[in-house]
Amino acid sequence: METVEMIKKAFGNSSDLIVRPFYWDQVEVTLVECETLTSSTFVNEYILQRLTRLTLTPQNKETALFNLLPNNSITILNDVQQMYDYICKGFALLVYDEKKAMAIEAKADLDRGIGQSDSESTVRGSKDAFNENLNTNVGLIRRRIRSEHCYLDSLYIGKQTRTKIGIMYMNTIVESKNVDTIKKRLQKINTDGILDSGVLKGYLEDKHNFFFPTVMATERPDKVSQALLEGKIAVIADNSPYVLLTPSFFVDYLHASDDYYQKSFNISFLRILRFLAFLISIFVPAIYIAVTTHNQDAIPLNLLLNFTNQRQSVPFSALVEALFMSISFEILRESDIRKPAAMGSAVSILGGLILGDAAVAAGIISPIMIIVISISAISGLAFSSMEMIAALRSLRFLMMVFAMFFGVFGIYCGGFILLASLSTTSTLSLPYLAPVSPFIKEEIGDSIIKTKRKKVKKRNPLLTKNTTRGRDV
Amino acid sequence: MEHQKISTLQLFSLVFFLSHAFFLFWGNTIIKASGNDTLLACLLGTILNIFLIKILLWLRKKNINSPKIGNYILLPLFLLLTFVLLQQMSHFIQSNFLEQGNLLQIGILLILIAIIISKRNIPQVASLAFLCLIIFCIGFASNIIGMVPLITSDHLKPLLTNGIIPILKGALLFSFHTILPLLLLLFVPYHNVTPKEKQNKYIYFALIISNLITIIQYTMISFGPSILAASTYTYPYMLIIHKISSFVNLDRIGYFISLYVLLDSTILLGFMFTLIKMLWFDIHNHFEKSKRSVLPNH
Amino acid sequence: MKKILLIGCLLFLLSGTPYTELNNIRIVDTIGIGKTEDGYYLYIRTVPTNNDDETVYRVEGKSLGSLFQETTKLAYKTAYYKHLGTVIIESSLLEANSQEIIYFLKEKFTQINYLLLTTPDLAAFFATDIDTYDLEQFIKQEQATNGTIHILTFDQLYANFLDPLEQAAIPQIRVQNQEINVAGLQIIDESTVLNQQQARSHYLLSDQLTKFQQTITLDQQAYNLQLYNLGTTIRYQNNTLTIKIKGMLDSDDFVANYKKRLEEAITKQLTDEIIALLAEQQQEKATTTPIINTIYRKIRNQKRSIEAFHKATLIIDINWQWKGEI
Repeated sequence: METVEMIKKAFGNSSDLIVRPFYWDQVEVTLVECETLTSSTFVNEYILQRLTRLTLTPQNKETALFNLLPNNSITILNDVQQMYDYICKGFALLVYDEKKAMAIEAKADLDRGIGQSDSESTVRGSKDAFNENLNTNVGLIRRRIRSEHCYLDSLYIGKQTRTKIGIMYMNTIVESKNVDTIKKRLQKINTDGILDSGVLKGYLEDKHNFFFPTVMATERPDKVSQALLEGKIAVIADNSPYVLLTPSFFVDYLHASDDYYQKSFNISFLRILRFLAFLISIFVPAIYIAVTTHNQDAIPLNLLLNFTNQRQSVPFSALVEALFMSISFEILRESDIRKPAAMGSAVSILGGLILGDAAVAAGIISPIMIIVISISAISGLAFSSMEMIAALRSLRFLMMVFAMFFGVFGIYCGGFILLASLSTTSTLSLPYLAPVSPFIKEEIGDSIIKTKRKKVKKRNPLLTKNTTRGRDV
Repeated sequence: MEHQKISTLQLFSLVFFLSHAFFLFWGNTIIKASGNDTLLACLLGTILNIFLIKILLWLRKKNINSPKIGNYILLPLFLLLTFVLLQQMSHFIQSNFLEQGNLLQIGILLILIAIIISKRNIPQVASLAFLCLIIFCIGFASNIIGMVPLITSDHLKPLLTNGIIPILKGALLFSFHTILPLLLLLFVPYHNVTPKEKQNKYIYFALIISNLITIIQYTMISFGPSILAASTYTYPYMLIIHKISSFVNLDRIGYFISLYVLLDSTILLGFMFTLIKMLWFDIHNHFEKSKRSVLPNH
Repeated sequence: MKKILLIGCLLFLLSGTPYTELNNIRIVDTIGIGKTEDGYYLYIRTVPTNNDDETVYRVEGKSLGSLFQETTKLAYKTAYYKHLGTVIIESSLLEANSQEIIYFLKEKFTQINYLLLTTPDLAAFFATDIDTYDLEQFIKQEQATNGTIHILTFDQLYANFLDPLEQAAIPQIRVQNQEINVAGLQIIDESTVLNQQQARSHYLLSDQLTKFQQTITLDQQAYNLQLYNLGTTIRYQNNTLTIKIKGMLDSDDFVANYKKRLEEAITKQLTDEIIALLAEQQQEKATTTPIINTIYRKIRNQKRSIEAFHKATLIIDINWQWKGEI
């Protein structure tokens, strides 16, 4: 058939394009499928077996095919471009007429099943995590939110990849203008392909946000479900195990997934600890540099003498030492992520040498610098978001440079730049530092100090007009 | 942006810092004027402020926009005030935190910070002010707690030994110091604050609390070293600020916490830069418009 | 515009602020200032680090300012004063021109919390190994046992110095055989030195003395008395100055039969010492701030307060309570 020839030409006679014609008296039906995307078992057992038992005539071919093939997802296609689309999505096409085909879903299982989360582990709470299949991911969320108000809107983005993007939200809770903003931003995307949800992040974030992330990526379905119930919007991309949550505020990065499964007193303590880790990670190396260069009177005398004795054999200034250590640590961390499994122990040994006694004995760094950089780097890793870790790293370097040139006053200026950048960051045009500034009393009980569950009765009014919890529409 | 409006708490913090900004650099003028009776002068000044602020709030409610010609006078005045403030801050920072520093470099760094603060105009300054208020409270609380064990009443002299004129002088000076920066509030439009009805109440609170905190600070100065000793120093408050260390029993931790005294002047500096930017754009637009109207129609 | 600003900031930042490396500073712990015929001399004791042999330096100069300029190069390193612990002034310098010294110290070492002492022989003090920590321990021990010396910081001295009614005083120590002894209290601008007993009375009247020990001999038998929880209140009314002292007594010796006599003995001793101290007071000023301040608060005139002080009738009322008795 001419249609079939067009399809073969469009796919460049690819070797994984299967074209299998069937002939009856006056009817020709051709099966066209992409072998790598469809399940050959399904095609053989359900389509071909049934097909061979049919007797088709020119009058009944369409109805016979439609009624007698057992599949819940059959679409009639009238356009050749649509046929290309469906073949690429893993559908098996039965071309029964010129420019007419029946698309039957026969997708192969190309994902890895539901496993545990690699990047966000918890002590308590569920262990299942998203995978690369969009339907599985949506299913994991719908298992938790069994409500008819949980809507899923779909888009296809990317000229070549035509990636399916799902936008999930609770219709009775969410602010509709937020949903519209997200849809508009996604529809404006004009690119070849979206290979991961991370690519979408850049389009979803507001302009002028410099350091801090405003769209959170998570692998955990319980976190997404909790966010949907607060009035946030989830963006799910096919082929990506990370679901995006927006709008995300600063305090959300201080929360962990199992915060809601423990006592509020313990959680408050942990959140304060994370906030302290945030401050320690940014300021400690800068404080050390300031105290050993410009403001030697800021520390007690005994400590100052300790530092003097330790720094005697070191030929570099404090900033060079700190930069050397920080950069070594970052390189070590990067190698740790990328290394092949066979080289695991060798990298650990080398890392211990660089960051340990050998470097001190060689006279390159002082022992106190190892402690300072280690404390700040470990505090920075207390966050699960990669963007937040990267933001802390940049801020740490900025503070070190300021401290070297201007001492404690430089740290003050750097702190002001940090505060200014925090207060100008916006997420979906909402202020990033809510509920602290502007002060929102409904949400302040769940920001850093967590009040008891019964007392947190209202939702965040910035995210929703329906602020009362536990109520039918 | 959604947050073009200022909330009342942010306005509160802004007013607090504006009225407190002159204490650090010009506090010793009041001590020199009133001597032993500084506390009485401050109390009298606070009462005077309550009446003066009523006039200011009435002016603000009438939404007085300065006429275009006024911008040409206000802009150089603001530039001059900003310059004076920058000079004072640079001197202070150089004498306390950075001995070998260059005044010009410190000044340029302060200008950079002020430009960054004033990037998004008044709502950003107000939001920053609220965050700085939290930090100020922590610093001030630790200062008081550290100071309490060191209170001695040895050098307290009886009040009103020198007549009433020093008290009146001190009160007028105090009032001038605290009300003058609040005149800048006339540039914060009345309708930009939510909720509108409560904003006057918050401004009153902010002024009274700021004055009370200044009075507490003068009290601490008179209990720590005496008022007489404090009047010979340029920055008398810095004498007691290093006594924070006795709070945590950690020697010299007060050095870092003592940075909280700079918060109010930095906010005032950022605010002035915002106003200079606004006035400049006003004049620029007015100039463009008048240039266009002068050209003949095509 | 933004790029020009950024480049400008970078260029400006790269110039940076000069600083001295940690290894190039000598941290000064104690200084001693004295007077030569045509100038001043300065002793400096630095905190020893690993490589240091010498820790005591002596510098001479024509004026105080030039003296400290010399110290910017102490054996090829800079002197760092921010951790200064003690300033010791030579007694003869304090007699001669205390004003210049005190104003100089106020300007040079602002916001540094250091102890103040005087001694007649600076060289002997700096020949020993005593640093600020040892001095503090010594003063605290003396304070607990004899009560003849208390810690004096520059803030306290400066406040006393500026007070028009008060005569400021600095504790004086002497060094004999590498050991410190308390000499008393040297009054600024005067050549008088209050002895140990007078110094103790001074602290008692200022309500700074809370405990001390005293050995009393009765019938050729010595008894060691411990006095603690001491409190003093001073009142001025109708030209009468009443000093009320309350305290608790205790003794490790067997004193059951001698309590009353011991009480009388200690009362008499303290009364004599207080009267001896008050007799030393100058015409225009006094070292005992609480008394003169109490009178000033009543009379509210400086000149008449001094006159009233000298004319007032003195009543000293001392009450004791033995430990264990209600």
